[in-house]
Amino acid sequence: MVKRIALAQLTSCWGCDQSLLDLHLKLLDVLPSLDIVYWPAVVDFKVADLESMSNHSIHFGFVEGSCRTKEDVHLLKLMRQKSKILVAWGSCSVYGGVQGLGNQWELKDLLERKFLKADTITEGRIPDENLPGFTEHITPNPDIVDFDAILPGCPPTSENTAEALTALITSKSYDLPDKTVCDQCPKERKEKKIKKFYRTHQGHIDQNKCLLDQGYLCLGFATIGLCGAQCPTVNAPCKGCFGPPPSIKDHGAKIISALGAVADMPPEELERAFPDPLGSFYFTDYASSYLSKIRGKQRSKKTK
Amino acid sequence: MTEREKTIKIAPVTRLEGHGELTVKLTKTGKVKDVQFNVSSTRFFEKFLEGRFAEEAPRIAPRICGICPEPHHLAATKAVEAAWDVTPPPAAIKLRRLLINAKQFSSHALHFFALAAPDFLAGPFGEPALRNVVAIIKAMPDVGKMALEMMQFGQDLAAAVGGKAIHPVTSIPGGMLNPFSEEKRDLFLKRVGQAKKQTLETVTLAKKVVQDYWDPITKLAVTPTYYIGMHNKGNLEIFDGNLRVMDPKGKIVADFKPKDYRKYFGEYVPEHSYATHIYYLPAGYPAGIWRANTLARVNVADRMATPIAQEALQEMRDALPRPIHATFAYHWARIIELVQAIEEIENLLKDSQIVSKDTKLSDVEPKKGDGVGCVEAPRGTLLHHYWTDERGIITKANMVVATNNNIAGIEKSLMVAAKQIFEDKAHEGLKFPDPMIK
Amino acid sequence: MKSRFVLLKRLLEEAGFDPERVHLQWASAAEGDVFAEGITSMVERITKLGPNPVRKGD
Ligand code: SF4
Ligand code: SF4
Ligand code: SF4
Repeated sequence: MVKRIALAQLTSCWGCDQSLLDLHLKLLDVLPSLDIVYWPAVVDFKVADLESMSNHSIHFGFVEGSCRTKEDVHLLKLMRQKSKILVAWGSCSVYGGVQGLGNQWELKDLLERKFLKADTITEGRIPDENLPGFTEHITPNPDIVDFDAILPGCPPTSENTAEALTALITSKSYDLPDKTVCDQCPKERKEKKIKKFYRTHQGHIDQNKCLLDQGYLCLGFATIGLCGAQCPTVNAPCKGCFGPPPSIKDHGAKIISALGAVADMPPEELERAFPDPLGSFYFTDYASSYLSKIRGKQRSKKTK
Repeated sequence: MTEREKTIKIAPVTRLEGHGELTVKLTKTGKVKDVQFNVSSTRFFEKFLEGRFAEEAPRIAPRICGICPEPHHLAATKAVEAAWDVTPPPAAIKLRRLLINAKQFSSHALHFFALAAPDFLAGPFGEPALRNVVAIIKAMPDVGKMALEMMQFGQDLAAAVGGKAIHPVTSIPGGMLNPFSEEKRDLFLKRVGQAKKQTLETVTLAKKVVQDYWDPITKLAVTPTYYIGMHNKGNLEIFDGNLRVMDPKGKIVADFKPKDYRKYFGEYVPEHSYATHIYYLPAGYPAGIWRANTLARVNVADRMATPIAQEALQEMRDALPRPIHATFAYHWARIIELVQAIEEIENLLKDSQIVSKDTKLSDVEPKKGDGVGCVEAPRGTLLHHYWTDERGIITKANMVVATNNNIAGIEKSLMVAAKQIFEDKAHEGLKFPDPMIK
Repeated sequence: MKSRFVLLKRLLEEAGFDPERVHLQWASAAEGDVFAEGITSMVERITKLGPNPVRKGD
């Protein structure tokens, strides 16, 4: 039976879409079992078309991106209403995404930087005609509506998405594995005792050895193993863009806890090595951290 | 505003990456009063890059656009290298050129086949359900298969050099983290011939489309604007070079190093779009509205950098004199650039230095300063400007992305098209061929 | 376990909380999640403590 699918983009970079398109010829295997009823990147249906569908008439709804504008919130709720199975697709959708780092500031600071104080702007203003308006901060989608499945990744690999889709098409459940990037990594590991941390541009990287053992902040140990360790394989430290495995509730807390255990150096030196723990430990999932959520609650109280 | 005025809203504008809506306002007598391209979201990268390690910017900034992350990856790296006074080894520069050309190739193929071709193959009045790449794949399996193979070639190559194609990771201040192995090089050398052949077939297909649609191409949405693009001694260039600005008459009015952009780039904040409008500062707004992207580059460059692409450009210039203002000629220019990309890729793969192990410096030190990194993204000039403190932490960021270089120009050409369609009913008098997909 | 404490302190600062109110005791938990729960209860506690622990937007 052909299944009806909708793919909707909230505020995002469209990388998750591109990743799906990157199945290329393999797309031809999945497409025949799908009837695409909404996918603005590729197909000419409009929001009004989506609004006019009856509730739960879409078999699979994939939501990419997070809610940076009020229109995003509307589209997210609409997708929930129309879809039988709703999938949070990509780290933006699951955790808020890289734009969640903006939660470190108040909305007015973000607006000011972009529309009033940019170097090339002579006459600033905050645009508001025929525009939806911004949300005060990024709230992860799963805190706004219920999802039936989540697939993190920035973006999920083409294979990740194909696997999830195939499971859904064949009515199997799709669960995330409780393993880490380290479990998938080809580099040679030793007992960890880190005497000094290096930044990625520093020094010479030994291509065979574990990057963390060499003192580079590789977050593979705290990150869900779905991507095939793509970054460490090419000597780039894992930045944790897929978020933590299901058993870890707070990515940054886990990382701090682990670093405290392996860093063999005075605390002051450790502090100097990570002047920006928020940016370093919560690349795509700050919005879903305890700290951001507590801060968000305080903000909402203040604006009420 | 009177009640009898009419507003037409298209939401969202489809087959476009990014979040846009179109608002056309008509007066009660049916005249086009205003055309707005409402870019309805933004994510504030300029702000949340503050406080981060500058060498991480090449990992963070690609997330601005998943369709063209490579240009962001490289512009970010170049900006930090400029701020820290770092010159990477020659092999690293060649790998970066390979990376950006791989993206140029896959993006142009994607754009031509998935975003633009549906209009031409199914016809602009075709059913929405037919007007998309999936329908093309079903109706014209050979063309569809070729399109997918071409996109895949570019994306696979980008992944091989960048670690992954969407949000690449290997470029870092001081070089490239991962050398290109001989095995990989050989693999792509084997595939490049087929990709080149397909590129030339695409040129033939595009030529047919141009002939079929000659009437609308040359008559609809012909919009004189300024143009901005990169060149290297007159050759069309996408990785490293000077920027040129051409005025609507075709005169080069500025030719400068990207680091001096603030003398030439103005940024206008419209009331109706979260994406600002970049324009030629000396001419003011809206007079100085410019366009970037394929046609702009082809307009400002004297010639293409590679021979077959140059032949294709010559053919275009013989048919339409420079500067070309016809908006639909963007697709034609895209195909010419597609040819240059595959020729560049072939040359780089054949260069023995591409497999050099010497791709990264080991003594890069951060310093306080600021730097500009500029490249051409498939959709136009892209520029990152970062300020860092002595620890190499970003204190401020300014970015001019391709979209913003185009939005005002897009609006302008949409205004022209809207007037032609709503006021003059011009489309009724235009000759359209029979759609290939029905 | 002072190491964890210093990182946690920086993290709280960046997130806009007053690190002066942080106490070392939570930083000694060994496991990530226990540690994380520690952060929550701690932050919840400190936010109840003072009149306005939230840093003013600067
Ligand atoms: S998860 Fe990453 S790839 Fe997907 S839309 Fe968000 S930023 Fe882009
Ligand atoms: S390099 Fe990174 S992912 Fe690989 S084993 Fe070491 S810490 Fe884990
Ligand atoms: S290795 Fe880490 S940063 Fe790289 S893709 Fe995988 S999860 Fe993301």
